[in-house]
Amino acid sequence: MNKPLPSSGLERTERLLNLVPYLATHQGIALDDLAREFSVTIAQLTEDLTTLWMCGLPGYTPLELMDLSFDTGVVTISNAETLARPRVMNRDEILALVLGLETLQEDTSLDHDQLTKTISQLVSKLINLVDANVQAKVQVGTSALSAERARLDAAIKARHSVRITYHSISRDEVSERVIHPLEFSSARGFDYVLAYCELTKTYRTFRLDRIVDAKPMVSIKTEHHRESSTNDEQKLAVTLRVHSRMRDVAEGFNLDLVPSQADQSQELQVETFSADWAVRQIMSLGGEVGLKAPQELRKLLQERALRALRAYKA
Amino acid sequence: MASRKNERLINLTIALLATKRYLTKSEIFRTIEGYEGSAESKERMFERDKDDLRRIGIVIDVRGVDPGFEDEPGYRIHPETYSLNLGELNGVEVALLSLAAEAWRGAALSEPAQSALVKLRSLGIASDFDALPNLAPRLNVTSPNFVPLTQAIADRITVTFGYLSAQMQEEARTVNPYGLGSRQGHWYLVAFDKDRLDIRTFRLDRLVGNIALVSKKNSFETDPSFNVLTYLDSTLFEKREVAQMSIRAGRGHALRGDARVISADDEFDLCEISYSDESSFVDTILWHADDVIVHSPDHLRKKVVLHLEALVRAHE
Repeated sequence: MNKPLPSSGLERTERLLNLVPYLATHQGIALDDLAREFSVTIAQLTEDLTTLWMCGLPGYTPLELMDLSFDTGVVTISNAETLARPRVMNRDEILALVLGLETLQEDTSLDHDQLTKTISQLVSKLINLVDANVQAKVQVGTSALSAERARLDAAIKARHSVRITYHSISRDEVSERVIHPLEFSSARGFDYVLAYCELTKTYRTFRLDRIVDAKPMVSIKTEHHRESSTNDEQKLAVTLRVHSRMRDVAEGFNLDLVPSQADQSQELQVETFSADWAVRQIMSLGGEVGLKAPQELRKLLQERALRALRAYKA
Repeated sequence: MASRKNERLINLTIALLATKRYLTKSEIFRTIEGYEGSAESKERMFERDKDDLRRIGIVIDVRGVDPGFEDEPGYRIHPETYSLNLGELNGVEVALLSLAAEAWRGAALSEPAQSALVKLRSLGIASDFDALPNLAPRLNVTSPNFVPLTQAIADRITVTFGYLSAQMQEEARTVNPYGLGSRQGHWYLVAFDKDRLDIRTFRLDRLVGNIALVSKKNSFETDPSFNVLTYLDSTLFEKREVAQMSIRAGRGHALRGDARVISADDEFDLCEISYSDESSFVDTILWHADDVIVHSPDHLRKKVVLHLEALVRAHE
């Protein structure tokens, strides 16, 4: 992620101020846990704690200085009442929480009046903390995948299998199968789970928004590991003649979204795992894109279009 | 930044927070550790320190100490402006806020979400996750332009960027950003396009490279009642028309979610589906080839037929 503001060195000042209230409520925390929480190295953290140890109220005798101890690997703080309350949140922090809460609110699995009300109250509390300029201007709509995600997440951690109902877009079929989920990933705004699929006996990814239903199967432990993941599916090269709608082609076939120099129609090669899906994808572009090769696919596409036309003429 | 400078900033914060009255500059220089050198250099140091603390969101209040006698200003930090006040929070609320922050893992606001989480945890209230159903929300916007755009929207700053046209050409745009919203898996920027003199909607993933902020703050007016999701719904996603079509049994799952089945025989289900954008609806229908046959409205049916004819011609 690129940072909107140049690094000013002030993030260390902020971290020092944020460390004090955290320590005040987490007395005896292990040094490495603390480092993880603040996303710094142990060396950096030790330097921070050493700096804090020199700070306190005017006078700066042991009576006024904050007292920190961290040489045993666990950290404690005392005499730090002045800084002991956590600092106000900045705009980005509040925005992150508000949008996160809105996502929860939109979650269809959150069928729970009391919680929905609690979330709304939290959102208004947070918005009151910031100049309300961003309110209603940055918002999340429904994407409700949370229940399936939570079930899969639990299954990954417990190494359980899951029976899913999946809408396979390449075959336009809904089918049931047992998978052993291994990990989540995301690409281009969609979330996926990598899993071993019992139906096809291969490792493959499933798009979360196409998982219609997921039921954990507690009795079956999965034996599969991420390392053994392979992709047995064969990629098929398809040649296209693009007259127009290049952006739809790029988005549909997962090409890099970089500006093209070509003004006129252009020929290009794309790869696909499913011939059937590729044909449908090109059909959806309504004649602005031609399928040049392989010849069998070109024929298949034409036959399909003719068959559909006959249905209209009938 | 050197540790000594940080020490001084922390000591200044502590002193200004702890005091019950306004401290004058001479008191600050006399009592707070780290102000050294000539009067002039102390002065410069203090000015910079004040700016730095303000930059990280600390409000330093300034007031004439004794206006009748002497107008040397005094400084303090009010604890209520310094610390987080979310009122009384219970364990369920803290759990909900934590889930909200966790939703950003790996996405555009993951850093502020993590620091918000640290502040929440610093309240020392145990979160009660057991009271919640099993939820794992996720915000998957990763665009590097997300954070700068929220800043430009809040501060009303004009921005420029390259945008991918339907032909994948990069078009230069100069816009006043009004709002960012997500619908159906995509994030959209709604903005006033200063060259086209009209409000336009841009998909965030079609912005090329990084946006540039090109104006001062508050350089345009916005309608205070503007709501980005309402706008997106009324422009892009409002379902204006109803189509009737036959969908082959066991097929057309992408369409079935919104479909109302009127009748069914062995081969086809006769369905009614309302739609918003006609051209993308045509795309979806064409995708399904002869598994989906449109009956009405007539203009939709004609369009699909025209495209099917074009497809046949293009593949002869």
